Amino acid sequence: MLYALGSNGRGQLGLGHYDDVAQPTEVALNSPTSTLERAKIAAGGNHTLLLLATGEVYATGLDVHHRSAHDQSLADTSTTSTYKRVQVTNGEQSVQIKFCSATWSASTFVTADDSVYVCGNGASGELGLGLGVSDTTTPIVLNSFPPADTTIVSLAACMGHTAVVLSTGEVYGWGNGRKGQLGLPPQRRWSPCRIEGVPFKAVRAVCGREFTVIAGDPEEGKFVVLGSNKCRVKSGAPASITGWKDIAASWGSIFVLLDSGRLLAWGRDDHGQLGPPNLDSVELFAAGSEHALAYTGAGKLRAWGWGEHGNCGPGVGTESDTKGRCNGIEVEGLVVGLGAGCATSWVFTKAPTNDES
Amino acid sequence: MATSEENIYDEIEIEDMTYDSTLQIYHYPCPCGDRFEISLDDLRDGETDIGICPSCSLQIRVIYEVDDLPKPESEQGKREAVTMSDQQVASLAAVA
Repeated sequence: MLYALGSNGRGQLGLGHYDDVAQPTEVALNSPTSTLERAKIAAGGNHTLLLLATGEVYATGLDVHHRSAHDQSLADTSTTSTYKRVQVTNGEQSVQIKFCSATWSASTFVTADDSVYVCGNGASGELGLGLGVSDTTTPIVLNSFPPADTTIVSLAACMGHTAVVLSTGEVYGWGNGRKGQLGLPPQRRWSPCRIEGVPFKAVRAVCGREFTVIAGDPEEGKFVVLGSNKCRVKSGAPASITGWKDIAASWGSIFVLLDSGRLLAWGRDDHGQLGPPNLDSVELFAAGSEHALAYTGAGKLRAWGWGEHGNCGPGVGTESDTKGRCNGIEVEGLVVGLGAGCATSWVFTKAPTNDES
Repeated sequence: MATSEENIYDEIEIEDMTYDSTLQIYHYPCPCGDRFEISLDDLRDGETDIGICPSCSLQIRVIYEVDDLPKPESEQGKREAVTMSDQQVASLAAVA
């Protein structure tokens, strides 16, 4: 099952309507629930991508992938409140997708054979299709990327930029780089450019609103934060972090989940985005724009941060955030995956087996 | 809505905002999915430098120089209201 809660004014929760919800609400999908195993969510400002393990991608919200050639701007683009298949084709047939990511109003798809397709709108180079190209109405392939004899091992994006880690350990990026989040000099990048200033072989990247986190092998613990230092996301970072199993970034904060289940967090905390001090061991984690979700080893689903749109669940309080504490969310079944976007939250569950109930 | 520092989400440089020439507003993404907006007129007048999000309580402060804003006469192909002074109206009437 897939549950969604939070901001829904453009249908980005896929619930069949356009109202915000503060309770986890089941997303009706016209397919067997088994297809949700190992599914992933990527979220833009008003559109959501659902990537299945089969390599199919579905999208809901602002319909950035099905635009008419007459659309003059995003204002003309229609919305959908239920998931629709995104057709990514190489001219002959649909291609299998292994990674997807979203900037504010664009999507990036990496295929199983390492082609990169982009679709949507972006005024700062978010499409990576070359100088001045700010709009596409259907998915288009990036030419000459990735470089020959490389594959893509990690894809990440946030509001204004995208980062890609190659099998060689190099990192490339495109989009808004005006704060140095794509390396120096700080400027927009309209095509994939190699990100300099990474003195180690990278294995993973995650993006915040104006920064990029690049991490090396967890055993060595090397990582670097490029871009803006607002809320001390750079200067507040540990020198190295070994033994991590996951990293994530909100628009202003960075989270590292250690093998031990301990969650390290630093950066913006004006609405409690960094979470409570006494959090249990964390199994699963997802970071949204200014909130986060965690599923603990004790089987509890927790949410914290800025929850004005119901994305942290009900009872978040008149101040619309969870400063100093976290919120418990009740959902049926075992939680097997989490997703989070712009004041939006998703929970993947499965029915417990006899052993697990 | 009153501006309190707690509601100021961030200070955003106008170069990072997107200009909508039809609506004559600058906008920037809000973490809720909507966008902060401020009108060109407000920026020109110096009335306010606060961008409001229609869907939530967050606001931004816009960092800009009035001199860097688009000048009315340099806007090409955009509909604009032209206001004339009494003197200009009088001199046009005189030659009609």
